[in-house]
Amino acid sequence: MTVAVPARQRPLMPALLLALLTMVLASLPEWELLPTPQGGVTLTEARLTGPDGNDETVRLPHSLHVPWAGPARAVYELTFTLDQPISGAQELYVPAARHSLSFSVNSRPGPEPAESPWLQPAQGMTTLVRLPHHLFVAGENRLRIELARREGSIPFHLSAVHLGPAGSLAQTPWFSMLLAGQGRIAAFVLHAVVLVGLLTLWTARRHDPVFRWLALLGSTTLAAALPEVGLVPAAAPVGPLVPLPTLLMGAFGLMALGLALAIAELPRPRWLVVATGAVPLVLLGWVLLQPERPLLPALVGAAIALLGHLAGALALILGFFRKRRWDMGLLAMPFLLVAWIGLRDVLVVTGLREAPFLLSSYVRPLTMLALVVLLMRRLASSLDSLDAANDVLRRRLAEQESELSSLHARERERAAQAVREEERQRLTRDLHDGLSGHLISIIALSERGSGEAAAVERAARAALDDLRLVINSLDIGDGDLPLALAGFRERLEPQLRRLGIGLDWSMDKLPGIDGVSPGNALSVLRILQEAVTNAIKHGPARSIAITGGAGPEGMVRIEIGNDGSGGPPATGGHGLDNMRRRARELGGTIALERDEDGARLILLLPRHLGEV
Amino acid sequence: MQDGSEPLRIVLVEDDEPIRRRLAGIIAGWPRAELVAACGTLAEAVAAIAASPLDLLVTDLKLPDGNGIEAIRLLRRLRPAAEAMVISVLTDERSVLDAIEAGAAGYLLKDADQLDLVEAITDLMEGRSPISSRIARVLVRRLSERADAVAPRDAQPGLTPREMDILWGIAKGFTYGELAGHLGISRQTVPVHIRNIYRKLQASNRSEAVFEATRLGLIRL
Repeated sequence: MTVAVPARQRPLMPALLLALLTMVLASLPEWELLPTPQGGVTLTEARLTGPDGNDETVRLPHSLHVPWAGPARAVYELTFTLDQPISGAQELYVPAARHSLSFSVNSRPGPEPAESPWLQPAQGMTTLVRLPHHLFVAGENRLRIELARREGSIPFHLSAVHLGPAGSLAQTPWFSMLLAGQGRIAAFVLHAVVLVGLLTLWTARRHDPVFRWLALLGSTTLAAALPEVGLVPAAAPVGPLVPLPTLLMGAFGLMALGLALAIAELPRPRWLVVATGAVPLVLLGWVLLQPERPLLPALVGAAIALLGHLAGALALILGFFRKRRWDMGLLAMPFLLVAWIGLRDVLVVTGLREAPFLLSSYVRPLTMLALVVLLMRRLASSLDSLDAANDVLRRRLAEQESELSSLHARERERAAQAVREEERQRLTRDLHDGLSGHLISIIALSERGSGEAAAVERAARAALDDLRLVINSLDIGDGDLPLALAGFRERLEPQLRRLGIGLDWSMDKLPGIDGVSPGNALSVLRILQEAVTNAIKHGPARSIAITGGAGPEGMVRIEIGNDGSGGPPATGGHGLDNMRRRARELGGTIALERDEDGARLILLLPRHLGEV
Repeated sequence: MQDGSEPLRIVLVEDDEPIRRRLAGIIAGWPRAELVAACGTLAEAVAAIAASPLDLLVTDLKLPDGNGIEAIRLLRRLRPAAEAMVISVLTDERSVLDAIEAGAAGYLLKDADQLDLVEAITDLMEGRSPISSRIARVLVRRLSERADAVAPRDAQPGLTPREMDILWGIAKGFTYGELAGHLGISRQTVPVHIRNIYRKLQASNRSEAVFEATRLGLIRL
């Protein structure tokens, strides 16, 4: 369906559809919708006694405009002749009459027509009454119909009157609804239900002008309808001259204009808000100051109402074509109808036009229906745009996530590269520190000649030892210091055995050390290697004891003892300096003790090793 | 097995000539041993193993025309009574372990001198095997990976708790002496347990191969 597609389409089809619908609804009152009875008599001539006391013969349907406001009555006397007495119940059918209808047949009062607050006799009503046959006589009969106006200045109206046997009128559901004023009940209930929805929306969206105007219009029109149906007492300060809703009409027109501007997304001028409140007060004051001429302010109010709806409809139609928003066109339709039907009713009230019914109060449900459709459509489109926004958000989120993860991957790659670089540098430095020194010695020794073969072998073995230390510490992780020490021991054992030196190794009591890395593990191993080398070189030791255990102040203590008597001086010496430096870098200390049993190098290390 | 009077017949496989000459010199200088062949390639090794009986294969793993493990496998098939020992460089625990699973019972570092070599060979022939803390660690890791994987029971080496204790202790860096003290056994029995571990590894490797072959549908049980 074309209208279901909201916006950004060629507006021709929806425009045509809406225009057609508007025209159909606008011309609806001109159709002959009331049923006509089969059989019986139709009375089209009456003797009218007007409120001013004049007598005249008129043809029905007839409208009587009285140039003053307030209570008045008009009496129509219809004469008809029956050839013979009739039997069976009869029905009196008055398709349309304005103002409260009562009647008598041959000076005997007939049954009162139905009374209901939902029936608004002043706006025209249909009457169908069953009459007992004994009211009628053979020969001339006189039917007297009296129309009584309670307030206002709406002209009297009486259509042709039908009289016939009961059941001659086909009773359709629509017709019964009309008879009981049920259309108004439906309109009122619909209005109340929509109002609840409008108020709910307004409380949830106070900042939205559309809902503000909707809530205002919905609640004031319903409030104005309350005295009309007698739900609240009509405490009209203006008395019977002008019904209160008539004075409020102007305000409704301005509210409709405000709503239309809000929906058309146009600015609402400040005076509009002020006038909405001021117009009914001004009109009320006018009526109170000049009670003898109440029709003029009522007409001004009606004119404002018509112009407000018309201007609102125009704003909506412009918005519909400019913004291609069918919802604007949809609301323009009831606004136009209100203006059109209102104009028609004004003409009827002022006596410029004759019509059986005033229809303004039937247009209200149409407006409400349009509002319901519009609001549902708005809800649906907001949900759609919410979904779309969610999709966009999700997509953006996914994009950002992937961007972030690729960024993260790059960052990780960089970090890994930095780690590798650092590792490479460390390895280079470690190899250079130990290995290259030994290799340079080997070169120097080899250059001196073949007499240095033993020294070359020693230097080569030292180089190999150091290489082993580096390699041995390469894959050392946290908590792996015992493993590094074991690798060192496994290498040391055969070397010492070859030299005839005993090794007493005990790392059983070594406390746990964390923060162990290849770098600091290598430093520990190099200190041990240096100490062992010193013990072998300077001892000369016959046995070496390497013992791990707990030291003072929570430190870890590794002691390298030998039973040699000699050794380097307690201070100084290249090897010892190296050991001290390494121990300091690890956050530990080196101490050399010597007595008659031998020498002991004591290495104290913190429980947590720092990076070197 | 060697009865003590006969010299130990040894085939040496090492592609690096100076090292091969050095090791060959050490073996030749040891009165209890007899160097049957000193090979530089896998092909020579295969020929030597097939040519004459031997008691011990000492082989490098990386050879110009293949892997020493193939020589060990061939030895296991052709000379089941003979032992194998691999010459290892640093940081090749995994290859050494592969060789052990293929049937090697000991390993020797390349820079071993005469004392080391003689001691290693003696230990090996007397039923003792060495294991370094690093090899033990790799082995422990492998065993726990295998325990995690879905495998039939018989694919597990079926180590006894004592053997597992020894393996774990060595992986943690304990000396044989410390381990023996903890476990209340003699220091000398630790290498014997290790030899048993090697044998079970070899067996489990075989049954694992069978399992794998069954799975692939190569053989039907």
